[in-house]
Amino acid sequence: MAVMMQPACRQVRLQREDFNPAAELQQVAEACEGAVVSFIGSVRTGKGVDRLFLEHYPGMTETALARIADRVAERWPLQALVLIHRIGMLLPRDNIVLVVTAAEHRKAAFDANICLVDSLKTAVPLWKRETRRGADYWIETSTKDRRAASSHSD
Amino acid sequence: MSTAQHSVLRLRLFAKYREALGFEERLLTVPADITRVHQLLDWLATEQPEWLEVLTASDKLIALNQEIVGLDAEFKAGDELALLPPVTGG
Repeated sequence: MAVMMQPACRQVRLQREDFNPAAELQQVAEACEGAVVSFIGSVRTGKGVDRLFLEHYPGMTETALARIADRVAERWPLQALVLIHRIGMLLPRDNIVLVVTAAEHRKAAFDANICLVDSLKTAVPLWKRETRRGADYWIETSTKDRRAASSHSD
Repeated sequence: MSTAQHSVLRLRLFAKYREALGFEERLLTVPADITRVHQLLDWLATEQPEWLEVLTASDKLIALNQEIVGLDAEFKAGDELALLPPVTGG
């Protein structure tokens, strides 16, 4: 039976503006005990990337983010779940995504975090377009990402 | 059952599909006997052969009213159908 146990501290946001990983982490650390795991994804500087544009499907993207958060919260006993993803125009080294998970024990916190990050790459309508040396390229999904995400299916 | 001859659908494209076909959204007037996604894609392929590259993309995702659906999904007048390239967030 799926009993929905929502973590006491839950934040799911899609936003253009930057986020402050230290402040978000601090908030979780103060509210939780045991294990806190955080993942920050940022724009890579290699391959001559000038900028990165993140497109979304207004409405559907927010729903999909909430759904992966629900699914993960059902599966692991979390005290906190923070999922923040940016959209719009980003520059090299800019933050893209923050995922924080907290649980009494480390395994749940790590596993839930990896599942969220992998799900972002396959289950949420978000598309990246890189501008490299003035030319635009839509990023292609890697088989590795698809395999990683399907490894979490029940 | 509706006796209308046509239904109007809103077609939306995202990311590289939008750029490939050069539009973001279009209203489609679809013959009444076309009620499933795969029928719609086949019909569009004959009506709009210049859209073929997107219509036949094997890895595309289809969203009906913002829910991912299969090719067999049934739609009705006023629905929003989106063609989505494979996602690349995270």
